[in-house]
Order: sequence, then structure tokens, then C-alpha cells
Amino acid sequence: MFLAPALVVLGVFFVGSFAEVVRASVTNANAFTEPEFVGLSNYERLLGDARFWTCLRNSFVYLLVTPVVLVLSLACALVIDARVRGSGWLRVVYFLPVVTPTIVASVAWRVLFNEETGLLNGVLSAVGALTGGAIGPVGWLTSFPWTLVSAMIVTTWKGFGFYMMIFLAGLTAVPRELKEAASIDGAGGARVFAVVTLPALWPTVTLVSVISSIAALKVFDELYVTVRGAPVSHQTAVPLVYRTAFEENAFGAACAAGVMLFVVILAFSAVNLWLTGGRGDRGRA
Amino acid sequence: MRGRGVGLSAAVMVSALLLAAVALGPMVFLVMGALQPAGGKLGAWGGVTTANVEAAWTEGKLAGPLMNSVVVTLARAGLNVLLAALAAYPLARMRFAGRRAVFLLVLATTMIPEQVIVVPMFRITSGLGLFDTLAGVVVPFSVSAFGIFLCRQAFLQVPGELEEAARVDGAGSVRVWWSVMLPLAAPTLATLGLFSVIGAWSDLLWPLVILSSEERFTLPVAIDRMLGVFATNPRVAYAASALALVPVVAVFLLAQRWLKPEMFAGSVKG
Amino acid sequence: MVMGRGRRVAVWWARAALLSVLLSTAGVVSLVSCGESRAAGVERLEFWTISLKPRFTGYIEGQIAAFEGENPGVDVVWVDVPYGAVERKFVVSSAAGRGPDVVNMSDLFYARFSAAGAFASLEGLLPGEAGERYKREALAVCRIGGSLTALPWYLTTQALIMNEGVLARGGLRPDDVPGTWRGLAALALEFRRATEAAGEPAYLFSFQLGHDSELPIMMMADGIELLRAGAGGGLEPNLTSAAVVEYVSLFVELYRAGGLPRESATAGFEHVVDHYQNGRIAVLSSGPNFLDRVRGVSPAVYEASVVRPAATGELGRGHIAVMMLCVTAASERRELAARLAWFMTGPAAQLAFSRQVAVLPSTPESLEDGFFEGPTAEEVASGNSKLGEARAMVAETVREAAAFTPALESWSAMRRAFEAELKRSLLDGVPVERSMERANAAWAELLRELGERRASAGASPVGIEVVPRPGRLLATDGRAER
Repeated sequence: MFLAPALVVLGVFFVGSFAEVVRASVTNANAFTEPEFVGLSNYERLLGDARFWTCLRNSFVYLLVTPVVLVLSLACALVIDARVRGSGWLRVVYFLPVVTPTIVASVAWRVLFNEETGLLNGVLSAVGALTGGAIGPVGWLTSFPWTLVSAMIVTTWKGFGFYMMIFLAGLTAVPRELKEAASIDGAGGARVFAVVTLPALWPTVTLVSVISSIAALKVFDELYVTVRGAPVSHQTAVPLVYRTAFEENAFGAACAAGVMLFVVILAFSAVNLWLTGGRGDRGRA
Repeated sequence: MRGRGVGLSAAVMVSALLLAAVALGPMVFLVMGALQPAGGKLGAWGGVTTANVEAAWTEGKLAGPLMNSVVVTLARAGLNVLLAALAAYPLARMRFAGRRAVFLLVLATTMIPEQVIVVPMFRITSGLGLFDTLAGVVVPFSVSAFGIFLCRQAFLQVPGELEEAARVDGAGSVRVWWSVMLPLAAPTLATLGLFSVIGAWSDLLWPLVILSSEERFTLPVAIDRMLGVFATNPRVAYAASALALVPVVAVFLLAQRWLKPEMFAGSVKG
Repeated sequence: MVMGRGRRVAVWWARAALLSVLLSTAGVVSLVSCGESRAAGVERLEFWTISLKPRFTGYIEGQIAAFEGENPGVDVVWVDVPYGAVERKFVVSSAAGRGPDVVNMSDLFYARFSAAGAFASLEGLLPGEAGERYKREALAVCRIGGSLTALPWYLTTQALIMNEGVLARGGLRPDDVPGTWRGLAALALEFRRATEAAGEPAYLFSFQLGHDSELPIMMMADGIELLRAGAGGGLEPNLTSAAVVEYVSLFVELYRAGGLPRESATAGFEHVVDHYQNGRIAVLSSGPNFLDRVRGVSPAVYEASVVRPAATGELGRGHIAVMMLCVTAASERRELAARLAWFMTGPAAQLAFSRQVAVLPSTPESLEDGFFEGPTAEEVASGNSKLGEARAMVAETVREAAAFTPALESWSAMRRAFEAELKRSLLDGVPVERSMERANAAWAELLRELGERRASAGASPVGIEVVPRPGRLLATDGRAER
């Protein structure tokens, strides 16, 4: 009874749509003409396509944002939770990137990433001059793997405030008395964190890790708005899906790629949940 | 020992402030661009004008889209919190066959790339007669797996003794959900409400495809039109974007003022 | 009662949330119910344009009202789609059977979607003779697959827009700037070095080298054959020819030597706009309406700008980009839709449109209007005579300009394949011979598939006649005689 409304909505719009995606993946659908059944040939072609494998590998490289975001957002949440002066303002400021529309933020980021006039390469050139050329300007928007790194920076920038809020909500459930008791017993900050805070926070860590890694594997917006023109082999799997569906008009093939990607994300998340989730659920529920 | 502690917290504060600068950067850029008179270099300082903001409001005819966005956002956020909190309760607290399977199924809906699902979702939504309606913008996204996940985690953290105590007093499932679970998960529900407001307020892809008449456009759809390559003046579009940010930032500041974590921290002692 | 306060807040909050849900849902539902009522017996036509709102709302609504006046019982619903959303919205709505009846397409979008069978043939549906009404070159682009599936609407041709101040930093005057792409490329590196030495680095020019690459069109405008007649009358790719490799190498080497901005390999036209508006590029090639935009954003750059005829290739002919109107294959009222497309693209309608914005009509009759001879009195009065000069200049060049786009369903796929390989040379350092070999193989495969598709549909095979090959129009000094 509690579940019914949510399941109806998700069932109709998401499961229903996904069923259609699976059905379209065995046809040559293209949005304009009557689709014909083509068996598994879309999948065969996909598995033999070097572009697909390169993009999939890049998607896994993109997963590097997850630990970065996790640590950064947790650290910010702890700093704010410590209630030092001004932490209320920090919370607001860290959250601003989340509310900034990606399309607007991208204008600013493209100015920063500009390879000739941008601030980032300006700093790198200055550092390069000091270190005798060991470090120098890089091709943020044109060369691999910097295209991925640029988008990952935007993802981190846009995401950490969001996950910080989740951690803050999670932290309110950690009994403050317990922490105080532990520190009165002489435990240092790191020890209180390891013994009291982290275990109580573990379900939230699981949540953030699963959600942010699914988001990383599905990333599209940041790549689309910052490095759109970069070769597709310098990008990840969803931009390839988009290109196949909307630019090459091969909707059937795009659905096959979408289904493959779904299976990959599902498998990855199952492993992720199994590794991190077991700890949080134990002794509860 | 003491000296090290101070050094560490100074380092923490400096990094915290640096991070704040990075977080603020693009927003400052946006506001500067919006307030700048024509002719200056974008991102450089050259006087202040409200002309862009006025132009955005009048030329962009933003009043209608603003109302639509408010309605869509309230409906989407309200439904999201309600449906997610409902669905999460059995997933966190009840034992029934297939609980794990249902949970995984819900989670799996987040793993489908939107880029392909948008096509069949459009077909289903317009098949239900919701093409070019605000309901069509709201209904498909009236619940999210993420919200269910978030609420489930919050309910998992509620100490079991509280629920047992309520049941001993004779409360049924609905009572327990309403009087024990919801108040204790309030910070999470508020967070989810806030996220839903933000998500619904800035959603562009779906309203763009499902809406077609101008009188039903939401704010991001209206702004997207102004930002195109063919737009005459990007500053007016920045001004419109900055205007669009005002309500969400205000909601966030209010939420932050009202929903102080201390309010809820005490209740756990129960 | 330790829970008291938190609970009160939560309960208050929950009630507020519930109330807002109920209110908004009621609002949404009430909005669903309206909008569905429609008078019986009215024929509804949906008409999509690209990025014309809000600037041309008055014009389009006026034309629609005139059309509805001539055709009682017809209700034209106008939907304007932002340029960046066209492909997504068109694909999604068409897949759900909710596409438009008449749709505005750029030549590139048109090729892409006609490959998928999106458009209806207009043969036999038009109230007049298309061949007599439209510019021949523009009409040729509308015949992908052998039959007429689009009507030319407005044309955009380019002019060279130059910033005198930036040119001077590299020691050049507008009249020193060559009128050909090859000539510009030859000076670019020297100009870059000179401005670097002067302490204010700038590029001589930039264009879309890698993203939606303009190179294929530039090569055809240079008289280089990208496609040639095959042995059995078919079409063969010719990308491994010495001429192609030489031309591509010219720009790849210039790029790799730093004579073009880094983003020219990956960014769209916005990078050229951005550089020009900030005084980092001396010359750009664009339609004259670009000046209007610069005027709003950077008055100082507008003041320093002068207009010269478009850069051309060895043939001396500029390229025309054609905007067109198509009737979709899914339309249930094809004849009526064709009539609307015919009406909107008529000489009177096009002339009125050109008066609103600096585009050119595809109907030669409208070009005879005095409006295209120079700035109007109002433009002179408002200090905007540059726009009128630019218009006169492009109207002059459009008479000799050609649409170099081949009428091939696979053209956009071929451009993409070319572009992917070109980027490997630009960014990863793959030798041009090697990348053009691979692009050539990709083109051969695309043409083979196209041949099979046409054969199975019983359509005529692809031949060399789909490739426009306008004659040379050139004096020996590299500039077109006009």
C-alpha cells in the first residue's frame, strides 16, 4: 500500500520506457520509418565497434570522480558540522554550484579552460616557467585525457555541495553526546571520527558512493557543454549513445548501446552495494 | 600537540575558503556579466547597469514562465517527498517477500541513460494525453528512485526501539510512519524536498521536448531560447539566468534558517 | 517530551508540503483539461521554425494570418524551436507520431533527416512551378534522392568582416587581406608572429575547422573533386587524391604550427564570435546579420569593423547555405502543408522577411528590390549603415555564388566520417595521407550502403550529377571579377 503510488509511476514511465528501449534495440528503428526486426545485429555490431569499447573504458576512468567527490563532500560536511564561525555561510556557498544551471556554468568554465587565454593554463604556464618546463599548459578542451579531466572537474564542482548536504542530513543522526563522551574519554578527533562518526554515517557513505558512481557512468551534460566538439573517442559512453540516436539517426543501435550500458551499470552497482552496503545494513532493519 | 591542532585547523580553514572561492567563481562571472553594460569584456569589470535585467524581464516575457515553473516545481517537489517517504517505509522497515528485489528494481530505474529513454517516455506521456501540459512535465518525475533511496537510508537510521515503543502503545503502520518515522527523518525529507525543488526548477531536457506552446513554457525553456547562438546579447540571457536563480537561492536560505539541525538532534534521545 | 519541538516542526512542514501538493496538482489538472477543446472541421497544421522567436514573432504571425485568411478553416500552429534543440525535439516528437507538418531545416539537418526518410516528396503537390520561382542553385540542394523534398527559404551567404584595429597590430590594412582561403592561410602564421612580437597576440582568422568542419565545402569551392564518377556510372570517393591531401595538410599544418586558435579543431562558431568580439581575431567569415549582434555586444568592435566580399576558393564563387521548408512524410495533410510551405517561401513573403533581418531571399525576383542596393535611409539615420553595405555586398555575391552541398542522403554521415579522421590529424598527429585514406574507405562504405538502399527502394542509382560543379569565375590575381 505504501509502495503502490511510487511503483505505478516508476513502472509506467521508467520500466515501461525501458521495455520499449529493449524492443527497439532489436530493430532498425529511426523515428521516421516503420521499424523492422533485425535480431541481435545491433548488439553484434556494437561489440565489434572499437569506439564503443574506448568510450566504455573512458566511462570507467570517469569513475575517479566518485572517491574525490566522496572525500571532499564528507570533509566539507564535517567542517560545517563542527559549527565554527561562518560555517553557515560556507554551507550556502558550497551549495551554490548545485543550483547553477549547467549551461550557464559551462560558459564560465569554458573561459577558465580556454587553452590560450584561460586562467588554468595561465597558472600552469607560470608554474612551468618556475619549474623549468616540467609542468606546462595542457589541452583542456582538445586533447585526451584532458577532455575527460575538464568534465570531471565540472562534475566535482557541481556535485560536492549536493553530497555534502546528504552527509549533513546523515550527520544529524549521529548522537552528539556519543561524540562528546568519546572525546572526554580522551579520544582524538581522528579516533572519534573512525569509531563513532563513520560507522553511524555508513549508510550515507553507501548512498553517496552508489548514487555518484551511477551518475559518473551516465555523465553527459558536463561533456556536452564543455567539450562537445572533442572526438567521440575522447568522451564517454552516453555521448556516444546520444550521437548514435540523435545525430546518426540510428535509434535501434542507440538503444542497444543504452541496454548494454544499463547492464554494465547494474553489474557495477551490485558489486558496489555488496562491498559497501553489507556493513551498513548489518544489525539494523 | 596543541600547536599542531591549531595549524591543522588553520590549514582546514584556508582550504575551506579556497574551495568557497572556486564554488563562487562561475556565479560571480554570471552576475557580473548580467550587470555589465554592453561593450565591456566578459568577466572584466566595467561599470554596472540594470538594463540587461530589465531587458530580460520585459523582452523575455518571463512572468508567465515564472508562474509555470512555480507550479511545476511545487507539484514535483511535494509529490517527490510524499511518494518517496511512503515507498521507503516498507523498504526499510517491513519484512516481505521480494523486498530486496523491489528495492533493486527501483534502484535500477536510475541506471538507464536518459538519452535513449526520453523517446519512449515521450510516447507514453503523450499517449496518456499529457503532451504539452504542465501535468506532463510533473507526473513522470513525481517520484525518483534517488528519493526513495535517500528516505530508506534515513529510516534505517531510526532506532528500532522507538518504533517498538510506538507499537506497544498500539500504533498501526500508518501511525508509526506518520508520528515516528516522518518526524525523525525530517532533516532528510527537508533535504529531499530541497533537492527536488532544485531539480524541478532547473530541469530543461524534459520540459523542452514535452511542451510546445509558449504559454506553458517553464523558466529554463524560456532561458534556453535566449542563450542560443542567434541571441543578440548574451548578457541579457545571463541576466535572465541570474533572475531564475533568485527563487531557488531564497528557498535554500529559508530552508537553512528554518531547518536547523539542532531542532531534530534532540529527538533521537527519545 | 523530548521529541516535542522537532515533531511540531516536522508536522507543520509535512502539512505545508501536502497542501502545496494538493494545490499544485489541482492547478496542473485544471490546466490539462483546457487546451484540448478544438472546433470541429478545422484543419490543423503544425509549423516549426528554428530560432525565430521572439525577434520575428510579428513577421511570422503576420504571414500565418495571411495564409489562414486565404485558406479558411485552416488553423496553423506555429512552434519555434531553439537551434540547439532541433534534432532532439524533431526526433523525439516524430518517433511518437507528434511531429510537425511543415518544418524549417538547415541544409545539414535536411540531409541528415532525409536519409532517414523524414520528408514527403513535393512533386505534384505544389500550386506552381518551383523551377521558375527559386534560384536554381538553391533548388538543387532540395532534391536529395532525386525528388523534390524541400523548398528553399532564405539564404545566408558570407562576407568577410574585419577589425581594422586588430589587423593593424599585425601590420595589415583591410585591402591587404586576400579574398581566398588559401591566401588567408598563407598569411596567418606571419600575422600571428607579428602580433605576438607587438605584445598583443591575435589570429588573422578562424573558422570551424574540426567541428561541423567547413573544409569539405571550402575544397569544393576550390575546385577540388571530393567525389568522382565511378567506373559503372556510380559515385566514388576521391579523398586520397593529391589535391585533397595538399589542401587538408595546408590547414592541419597551420593549426599545428599555432596559426589558428586551439579551439578551431573542436569548437563551433561561437569560438570565432567570442574571439572576434574580444579583439583576438582580425577577420571572420559570417553573414551580415553578425554585425548586428556585434553592435549590441561590443560597440567598439563594431566601430572598428569593415566589410569585404566573402572569401572564396579558386573558383571565385561564394557558398550559399540554404534554409528550407519541408513537409514531413508523417503529415496527414501533405497538400495543405505544401501550400503553406509554398506560401511562406514566396517572393513577397521572402522580401518582407529580408527587410527584417540580414538574410537573402532564395527567389531571384525579390533580389531585384532596391533594398539590396545599399543602406536604407533609416539605417543611415540610425548610424547603422554598415549593415546595409554588408547586405548590398552579399546580395551582389549571391548572384554568382553556388550551393556546393551535394544532394546526397549520406552527406552528413560522410561529413562526420571526414571530420572524425581530420580530428585525428589535427589533435593526435596522424599523418594526413593516413587519415584521408581511412576517411576515403568510410566514404566508399557509406556510398555502397546508399547504393544498396536506393536499389532496394527502386530509386535511381547515385551518380556524379548530384555533385554541384559550377564553372570557374576567376581572374588570374586570385580575386573574383565582379
